[in-house]
Amino acid sequence: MSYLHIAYYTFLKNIRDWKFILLLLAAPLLTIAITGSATLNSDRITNSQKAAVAYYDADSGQLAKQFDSFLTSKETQAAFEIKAAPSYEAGMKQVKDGKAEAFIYVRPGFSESFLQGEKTKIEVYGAKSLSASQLLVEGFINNVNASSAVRGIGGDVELNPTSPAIDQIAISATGKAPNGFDKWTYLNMLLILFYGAMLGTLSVINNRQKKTLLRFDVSPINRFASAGGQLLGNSLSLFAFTLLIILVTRYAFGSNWQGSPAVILLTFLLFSGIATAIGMIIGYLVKRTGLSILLIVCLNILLGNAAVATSIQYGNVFFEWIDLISPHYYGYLALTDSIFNGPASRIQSSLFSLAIGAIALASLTLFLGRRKPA
Amino acid sequence: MLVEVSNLVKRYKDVLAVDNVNLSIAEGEIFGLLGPNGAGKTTTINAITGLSKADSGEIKIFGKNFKDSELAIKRELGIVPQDLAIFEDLTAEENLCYFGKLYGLSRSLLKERVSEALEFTGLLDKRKQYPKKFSGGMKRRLNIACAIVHRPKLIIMDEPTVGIDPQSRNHILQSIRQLNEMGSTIIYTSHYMEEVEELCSQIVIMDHGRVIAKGTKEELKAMVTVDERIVMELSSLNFTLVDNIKQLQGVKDSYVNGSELTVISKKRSKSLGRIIDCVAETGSEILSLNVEKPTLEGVFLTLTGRTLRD
Ligand SMILES: Nc1ncnc2c1ncn2[C@@H]1O[C@H](COP(=O)(O)OP(=O)(O)O)[C@@H](O)[C@H]1O
Ligand SMILES: [Mg+2]
Repeated sequence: MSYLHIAYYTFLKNIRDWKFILLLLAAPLLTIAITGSATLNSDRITNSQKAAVAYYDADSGQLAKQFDSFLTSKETQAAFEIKAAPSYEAGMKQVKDGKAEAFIYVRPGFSESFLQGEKTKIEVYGAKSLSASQLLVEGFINNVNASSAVRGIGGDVELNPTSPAIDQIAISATGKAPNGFDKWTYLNMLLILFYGAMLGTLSVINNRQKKTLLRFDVSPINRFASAGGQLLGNSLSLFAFTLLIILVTRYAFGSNWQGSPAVILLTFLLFSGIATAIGMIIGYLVKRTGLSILLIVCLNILLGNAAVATSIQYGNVFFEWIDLISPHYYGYLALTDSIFNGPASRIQSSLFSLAIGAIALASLTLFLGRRKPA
Repeated sequence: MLVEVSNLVKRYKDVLAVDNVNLSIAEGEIFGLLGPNGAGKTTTINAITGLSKADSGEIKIFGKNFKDSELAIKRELGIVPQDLAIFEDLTAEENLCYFGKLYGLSRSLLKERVSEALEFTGLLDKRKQYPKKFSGGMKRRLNIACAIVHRPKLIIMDEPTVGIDPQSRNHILQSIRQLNEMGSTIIYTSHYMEEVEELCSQIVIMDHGRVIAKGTKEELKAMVTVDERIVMELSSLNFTLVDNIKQLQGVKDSYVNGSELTVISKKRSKSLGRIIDCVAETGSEILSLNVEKPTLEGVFLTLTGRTLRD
């Protein structure tokens, strides 16, 4: 099979290009290192910087007790100034008066309904203007989950403004709650991986400029084999880099990759295929390296930032439209939904969208890269 | 005939790159396509190998045409492109495996043929090295090796020796002869007339997209009447000698240039013996003697009024 053969040597050439590997590896590791250490540092906040958090537990069940003991544990106390509020109203007042940055409220019957498998929530209220505290509270919830005191609580963070000054952060019982950094890290990784499109572009343009394309044109292979082999080889190279990044971040930085391995791998595989195909298509159409790379950067900024905007709830019709065609957005949804127990239907639809995109772009790549009949 | 090209025409916008070219190449030949840069050699080659589409004309290779038997033709074809077409970030051996495998050789056969091709081009000891470290000549040899891994019946070489040292050139010319002896038919394009003269059994001279002459080198040289130039260095010279030589049968002109005596004589007039006798009579000694025979360069000059390298 000449496809596999071409893919193999394309892969071989890519992994020998250590400068490019370094670039692809270094960039995400650097960001993850920075954001990772930022989250780590949040545990070591000094007293003067400690966020004041009020809480009121109206439930008396077993789960709520565990939660209480977690809140009053040494680790939690080291990062937050946890103050028990005498009532729901008093807690809310502390937030409104600015005495606490956030108020955590556990409803009556919380433990029972959780044990019965119902949708439960721990409610977190915070002043919207204090976005740093919001991050801390989200991170705090994540810590709660990580400690497994209340496993299974949390999920998508939704902002439900109850008054202009106060946001309610509802955490549904569908999963773990990621903090802002966590989610942003996955999106950031996709943003950087997208530059792997350049592998495809360079492979196509060099093949033409260095005249090696001619050897494929004169050899007795299928007319789509050259493009198909390169697409496969470059996608797998990018995918291999991704696996490397996952391993390094997992073991060196303790990043959270505890979603479904199948979903995570499929997401990255499809994303690699899409990025490579886009890179090759640009290479076939533009034929010039500089301009191609510029286009890839622009596309990445457009598609990636639409996903970023949506992920940080920066509602905007333009970005929402872009999201519809943004592989970053679907990749981000599939990854974070898998890792943080998001809705299965959304994982499926995101993967489906990625697959459709990959198939369409691969077809276009094969068409543009086909050997024209003599 | 192994290759039959009839009435080939190819135009690039306002350039008529190939103008009604006819070629027929028999099995077992080393067929030379000689012409200056821009003569249309590469364009002709590209049409034969299916790399570019001709505007009109017919091409038959192994009695088949490209439209119906593309893959069958390609399997038997080896192409050495004018521009180096090798991967610099793969070793010599990997390059050969990569391109050889495109011809569907089995793993064991491929291994054998790759070693053979490396050996053949003198690159066996360099097989694990990357071509970016190769000299120009070694790269050219690898460029050739890539085209012969699958032992093609017809090998087309487009200026395989441009810009290399004489040693590599000799090695390449030698291997081409050897390939031919092993049964491959070879189409060889060049703008170096010495190479074509040395190597090729049949020669076509192209200029401005047209075939201006074809035949064996003897036939080509016979086509034009070019005078022979005899240059002698003598121990002593005098004007009577020059005048006497001018009177000899077949001699057109004679003049002195420093210590050298130049005699222009009609082609095949067998005047050399008479000239030497004439010199001997004066008691002068011949220190050196050189007869400049008509060359393909001269043929080209006569046909076009220009030299090949203009
Ligand atoms: N792709 C092309 N586009 C336009 N003109 C071309 C192209 N290729 C060749 N030519 C022109 O066709 C003529 C023949 O070129 P070529 O076949 O390369 O000559 P040779 O190989 O004998 O040096 C030249 O005038 C050249 O400029
Ligand atoms: Mg040429």
